[in-house]
Amino acid sequence: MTISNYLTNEHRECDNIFAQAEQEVANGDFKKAEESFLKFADETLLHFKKEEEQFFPMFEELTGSSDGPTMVMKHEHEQVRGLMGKMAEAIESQNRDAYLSLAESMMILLQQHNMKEEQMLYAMADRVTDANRANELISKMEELTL
Amino acid sequence: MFQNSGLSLNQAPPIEVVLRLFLIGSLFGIALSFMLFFWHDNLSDISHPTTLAIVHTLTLGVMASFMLGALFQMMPVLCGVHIKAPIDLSVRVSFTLMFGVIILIFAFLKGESSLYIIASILIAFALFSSTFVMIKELLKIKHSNSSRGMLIALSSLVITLILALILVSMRVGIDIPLNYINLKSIHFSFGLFGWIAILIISVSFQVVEMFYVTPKYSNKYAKFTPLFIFGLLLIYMALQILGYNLAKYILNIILILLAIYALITVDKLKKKKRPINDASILFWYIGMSSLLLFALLGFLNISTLVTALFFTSFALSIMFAMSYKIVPFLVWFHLNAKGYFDAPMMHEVISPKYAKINFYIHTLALITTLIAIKFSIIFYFGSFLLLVSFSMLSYAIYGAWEKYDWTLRNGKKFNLNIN
Ligand SMILES: [Fe+2]
Ligand SMILES: [Fe+2]
Repeated sequence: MTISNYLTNEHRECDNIFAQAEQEVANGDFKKAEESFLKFADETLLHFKKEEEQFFPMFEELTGSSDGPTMVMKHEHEQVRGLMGKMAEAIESQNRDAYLSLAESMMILLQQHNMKEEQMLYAMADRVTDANRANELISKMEELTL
Repeated sequence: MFQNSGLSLNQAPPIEVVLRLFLIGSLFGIALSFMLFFWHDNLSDISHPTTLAIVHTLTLGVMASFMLGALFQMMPVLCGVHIKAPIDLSVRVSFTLMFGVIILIFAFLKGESSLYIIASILIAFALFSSTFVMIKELLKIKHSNSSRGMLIALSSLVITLILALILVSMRVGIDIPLNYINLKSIHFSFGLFGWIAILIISVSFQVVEMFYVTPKYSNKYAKFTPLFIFGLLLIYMALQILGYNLAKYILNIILILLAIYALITVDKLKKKKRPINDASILFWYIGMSSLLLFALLGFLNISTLVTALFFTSFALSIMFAMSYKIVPFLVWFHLNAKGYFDAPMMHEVISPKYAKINFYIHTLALITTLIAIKFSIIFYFGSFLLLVSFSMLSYAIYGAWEKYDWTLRNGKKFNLNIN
């Protein structure tokens, strides 16, 4: 498996859970929605952790810069985390409209972020790492927990 | 490599760059509605002064404004292209384009050479200065399918514009040994297919997936479609200039490609992961159905007017779709990034209900205009609905801008030390 495949799969997985939570909120089923949302938050935060603790440092080492693209990505992670907090509040207070509105911003923000990672950072990482290095990174990321 | 990609914290251009152009575009939509109300009788004569005024209000006043606005926003964010001094550039471009189009309308109506010349200078200045900067920056980056498509679309705009300048020169009496009618067909083929269609197609390769969380377009498809259409247009141009009859078959191939694109896009939208059908996605469906019907009618060579209406419906619907997504997102995004914790949420900027009402009125306007082609009296009703539709869009954009400014002045802010 390539680094790109591994991390891109996680993006798609998060999209799926996110869509499920959104559907459940739209249906007014807040009990299920809360479960799905928490799952989405956990998966996304774990993914961020994998990037910030393993992938970005390797990327910085390979490209020799730490204030370029990875800094932008970390900044966007912060924006996503902030929005996640607001979505959790909306779900707790069972505020359907607020949730759906925040979900809209979240999706655009997250998709835009993911697209940049997939098209630029992941693609480049694939090009400059051999299979050994890639496998090593993936197994290190696999070990991480929240 | 990343030095060239220009990915930086300040990548999104200031919001006014985009909103001003969107607002000007939708105000031209209001003007367009009035023109249709009074001048619909001559629509079937494509060379009639009022028809030319209507067509250019639509393509330059409405569409070019929106598309340039969208490019100012998307090139930095989606392609990592850095545009220097975006506010200065966009102010210059917006106002020269606006006055240029207004003067062009009078030029068509009065047929006066001096007006044609002033209008051409203003419009050429607006479009060349923006496309020059954009093309220059796009040539520096490593391409994604979208950015390559944008580059092709901008090149088509340059060709469309050069042809327009030649046409104007001929109109004001300069002797150029070329066939006016042939040049005119090349002019609008590049305008419609090369600039408008290729731009929408290339942007969609990225935004459809991003806004609605759909499956990806296949990489090969996304890479070659814009190139293929552009290549066909170049062949078409050569055949037209040399006076070969084959030219119209080339256009038919382009129509087939557009139909395929519409079908693929509808399929992607159908497979979207997010459950909610908001106004913006409904606008996409109408836009894609219109494109499909346009291609079909164009292929069968049925009524030019109906065919033109479907193309218009395609382009306008996508513009509405994009505006109702981008405008509220930008207001929220910029305020949030500036640290305002009471930044209005997207649905507070423009309510989904409002957008949906606009969608229904827009659709009704298209249907009545379609019927009006057969029963011309209905044009009064169709153009009235169009007026309501564009007024709603103008008000939505203006209101969003107001809310943005209001929060800037009165909002509560975290003191963030970024940037
Ligand atoms: Fe990330
Ligand atoms: Fe990621």
